[in-house]
Amino acid sequence: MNKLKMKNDKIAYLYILPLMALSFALVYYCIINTVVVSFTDWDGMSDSFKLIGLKNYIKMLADKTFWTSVVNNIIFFVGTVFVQAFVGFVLAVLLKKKLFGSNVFKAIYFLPIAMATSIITAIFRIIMDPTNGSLNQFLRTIHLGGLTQNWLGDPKIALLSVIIVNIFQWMGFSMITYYASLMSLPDDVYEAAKIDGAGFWKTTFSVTLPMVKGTTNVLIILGIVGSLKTFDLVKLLTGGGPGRSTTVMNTYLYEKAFNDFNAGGAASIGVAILIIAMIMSFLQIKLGKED
Amino acid sequence: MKMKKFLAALTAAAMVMSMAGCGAEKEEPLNAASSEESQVTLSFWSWLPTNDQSEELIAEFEKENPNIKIDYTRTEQDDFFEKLQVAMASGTGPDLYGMTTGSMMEQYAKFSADMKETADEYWGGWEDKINENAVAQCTTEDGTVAGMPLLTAGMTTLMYNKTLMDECGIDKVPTTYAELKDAAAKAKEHGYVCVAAGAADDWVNSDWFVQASNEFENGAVYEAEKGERKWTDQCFIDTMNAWQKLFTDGIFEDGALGVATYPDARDQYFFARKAVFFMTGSWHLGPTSPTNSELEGTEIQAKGDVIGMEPFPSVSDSNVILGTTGVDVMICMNKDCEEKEAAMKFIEYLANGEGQQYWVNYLQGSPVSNEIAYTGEIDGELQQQSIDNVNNYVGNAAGNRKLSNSELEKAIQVAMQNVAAGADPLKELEAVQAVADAQ
Repeated sequence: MNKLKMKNDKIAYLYILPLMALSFALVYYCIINTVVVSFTDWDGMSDSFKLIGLKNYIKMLADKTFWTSVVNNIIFFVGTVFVQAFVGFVLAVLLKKKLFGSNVFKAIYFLPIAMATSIITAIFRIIMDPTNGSLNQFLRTIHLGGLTQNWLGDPKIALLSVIIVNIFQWMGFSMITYYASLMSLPDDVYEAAKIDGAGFWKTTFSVTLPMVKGTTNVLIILGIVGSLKTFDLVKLLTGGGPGRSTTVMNTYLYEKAFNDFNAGGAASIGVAILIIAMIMSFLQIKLGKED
Repeated sequence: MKMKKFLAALTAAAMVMSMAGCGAEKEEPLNAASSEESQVTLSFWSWLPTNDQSEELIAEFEKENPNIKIDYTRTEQDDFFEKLQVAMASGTGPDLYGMTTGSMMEQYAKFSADMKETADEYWGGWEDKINENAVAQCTTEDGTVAGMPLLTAGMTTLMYNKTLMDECGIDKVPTTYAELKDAAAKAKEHGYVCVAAGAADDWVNSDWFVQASNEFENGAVYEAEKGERKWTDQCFIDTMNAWQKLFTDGIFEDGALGVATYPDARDQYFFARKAVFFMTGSWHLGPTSPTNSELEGTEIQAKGDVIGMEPFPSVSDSNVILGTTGVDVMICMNKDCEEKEAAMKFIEYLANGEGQQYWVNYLQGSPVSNEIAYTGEIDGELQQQSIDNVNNYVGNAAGNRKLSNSELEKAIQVAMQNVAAGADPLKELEAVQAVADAQ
């Protein structure tokens, strides 16, 4: 019996071996290597480098731009994750009602996810152009010219503009995730709520929302990781500017690695991103369980 | 050594993959194998020549040299250096690669063959044929000639739409700030933007800063870069104030800080006939010819507008106009290249042969060859005048267009965007000085 179990265990390990090997080569090895590089003065190209201890970390922690990028990441996270989840939830609830054309709207809301970020940013650069852009032109047409903005060129609102574009791109993902979750909810709960006299809003926020708590947690964790990974959207939309107003940790990491040839410094930022992602995900999972 | 190279390659690849979310690309093999014994294939990566130019340029070389094949890969300049960095770190870089002077050249010099040594061996008398200053700009701090210059270009110029100027009642291309301000008022009256500028681009901003600061105090910017003077000196404060005024006086389009030079400012404003002027550099003389391919399908071509180019007006009270110049693109040879003689033939073709002539006639930049000048047809009303005035401006430039210290350059770029958004110039320059002090 024991022999059979051991044999089965070995076979099971063999099955997962290719995946483990790939994961190690493509993910864990790179993480370990990045940690090692963060203790060196490597320029990103040379064969040689020196170990410099914690110098990169000390420099990073004393660097004003690094902290600006951390704050921008936090604003980006708060501004996108919760709004995205909320809008996605509301849309999913409305689409579940099977109103006329809901399938078409479902496809429309989901469409931006299927579009490349480079295309979305190219379109939004045109839409958000302060002089020729359709957003400001629309505001002027409906006599709300006072609300026109220099969307990407004003340091005070550039990050907000980036957040809006990110929400546009990813709210469809929240919507479809919530929608899948809503479809699996039992009907009898809604019938009971109806008998108890709960209206649409009461049912939505007191019955539906608590029942999709797991989905909300998953979306928040994915949002944390996603916002920490943000790079392409910012790089292509504003390049981190004007000034440092939209610089996030990944664009700063990129600048260190590819402009300053400071791979050690870039790696230390990479490690900081990893640690922050782990801590935030851990807290979210723990809070989710406590609820 | 092999292990270190592997580590280096894997780390660089991991960085690119984790940020861009893309898979590894198939790299070109170094010294790609020749199909026949006599046939040599050279891999060449660059952002110039453009796709339009490369077909004719390379075909002509291969016709002249049937035993040499050029395997050219073009990448936009921003992406080019990422691709090159990963390839170099993994030892799979191309035989020949485009390069910019300054900090990039210094970084890649360790991978590049000493161009002087190689050229001396395979191209006798090259030093008499190539502009001495251009070669000096391709020389590293330790005295190694890291590559061969191919084209030079100057900053800052003003492309103008003569048809729109006439419509707005702007009599002449502004040469002083007062005239520029007057032109802005007239353009605005007629519903046009005065100068389309892409102030979202860091490179344009710092290029402008280096150029304009020379008008306030010639050479001060280079001294400050060497640490010989402070970035908070009056000439730099004046430069920053002049920069700020371009935004507050309505010279640039509203929201210029969110507009990139290429393609936004060029296509959506100037080529779309919404701006009278466009802030650019001498490399962009091409559109002064109405048959230039860049103009195809644009509004200004549809209306038959007359386009010209002049130096950017002086922004200092002295009204002195001073440009900057620099090698716009150079070519480096991988030190591991096994076909150095063939590679040098191609370099010679680009720097002093038909390739150089082709580029110069395309108005892509000014020649580095002492033996080559523009011989193309003049088919624009203002083209000859534009070529002469811009070349004169570049020829009398105050100094280099670029700084070689990338961290300082970035600090200036950040300061300029903050100043354009209303920040105090002195405070921003103190931040630049802090970066200089920390080095």
